[in-house]
Amino acid sequence: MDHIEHRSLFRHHATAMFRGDRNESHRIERRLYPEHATAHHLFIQALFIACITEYFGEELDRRRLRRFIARLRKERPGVSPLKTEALVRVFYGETRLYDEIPHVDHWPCMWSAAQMIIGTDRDDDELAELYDRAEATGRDMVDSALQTEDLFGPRCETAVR
Amino acid sequence: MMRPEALQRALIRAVAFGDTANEQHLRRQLRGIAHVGAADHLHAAVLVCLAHRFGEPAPPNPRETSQVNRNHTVLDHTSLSHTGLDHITTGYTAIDRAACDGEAFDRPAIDDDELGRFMAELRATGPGLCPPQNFLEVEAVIRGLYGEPHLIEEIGAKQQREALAFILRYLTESIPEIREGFETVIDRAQALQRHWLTG
Repeated sequence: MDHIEHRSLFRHHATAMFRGDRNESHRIERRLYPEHATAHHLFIQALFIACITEYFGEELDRRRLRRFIARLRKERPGVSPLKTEALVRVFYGETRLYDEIPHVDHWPCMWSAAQMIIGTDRDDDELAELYDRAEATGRDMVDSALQTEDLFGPRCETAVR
Repeated sequence: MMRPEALQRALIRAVAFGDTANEQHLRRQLRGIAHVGAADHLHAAVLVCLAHRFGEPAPPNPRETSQVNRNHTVLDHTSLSHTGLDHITTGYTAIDRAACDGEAFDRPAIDDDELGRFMAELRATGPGLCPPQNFLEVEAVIRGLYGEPHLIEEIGAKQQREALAFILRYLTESIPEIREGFETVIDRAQALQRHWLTG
C-alpha cells in the first residue's frame, strides 16, 4: 500500500465514522490493521486536534470544555468523561496527562469528541477541507517532535502555572 | 488490643504521617466492618484537610439550594463550616442534574487555576511521600469530592485509596496547622462521618 492509498483510506475511514457507516469503517479497518496502526493513529490524533481546535479555538476555555464534557456524558454513556477531557487538555499544553490516559481509551474518546463536534451532515468538500487541515497538523506534529522536545503537538507544556 | 475508636485514630495518624510500618501493624487489627470505617475515616479526613487548602466551596446556586438546606445540621461545635462540607459531600444530586444542562460546571467548586497549581505541587513531590503513578486519577478523586462524583466512579477502589492517602500525606506535610493540630482534624473527620451516618 503506497502513501496515496494510505491517505485515501484514512479519509474514507473518517468519513464512514462521521456518517455512522460502521460496515464501511470496519471494512477499511480490516485493511489497515495491524500493519498501519501507527500511521493511522497519527492521522486520528491530527484529526482530533483539527476538530477540537475548530470547536475550542486557539485558547481552551475550561467552562466551554466542562459544558462539552457534560454533553458527552449525556450523549455518549460508556465513553470516559475524565479521559476525554484529559485528551483535550493534552493538546492544549498539559502534555504530561498523555501517559496517564490508557491507550485503549484514546480511540473511543477521540472519535466520540470528533463526532460530536463534526456531526453527520458535512458534505464531501467540507470533510476534505477538514482532512487537509488534519494532515497539515500531522506534519507540524512530526516536525515539532523531531525538532523540539514537544512530543504531542505544536503547543508547549503550560500546565504548571 | 486497642479499642476501635483509638485504633481508627492511630491508623489515620499513621497514614497521614507516612508511618507505613505502624499503619500495616494497625491495619491487621481491623475487624470486619472496621475496614469500611477506616476507608470512610480516610475520606472524611481528606475532605477536612482539603478545606484548609481550598477554603469553602462556592455558595450553591439556586438550583441546588433546596438540597443543601435540607442538609444543614447541628455540627457547629467546630470552626469548620459544615455548610460547606455538606455541600461538597451531599450536594451531588442537584449538581449532577444541573451538569447535564451545562450550568453547574460554569462554576466549579474548585477554581481550575487553583487546582492546576495544587496538581503541579503534587506532581513535584519527592519519592519520600510515595506519590502514585497516575496523577490524573488523583485529580479525579479531588474533583470527585468537590461536586463531580462521576469522576470518582471511573477510578478503581485501590487507586482511590492510594490517591486519598497521598493527598492526606501531602497536606499533612505542607500545612503546619494540619500537622500540629492533627487531633482536631480527626475530631472534625469523625463529626463528618457521624453526619454521613445520621444525616
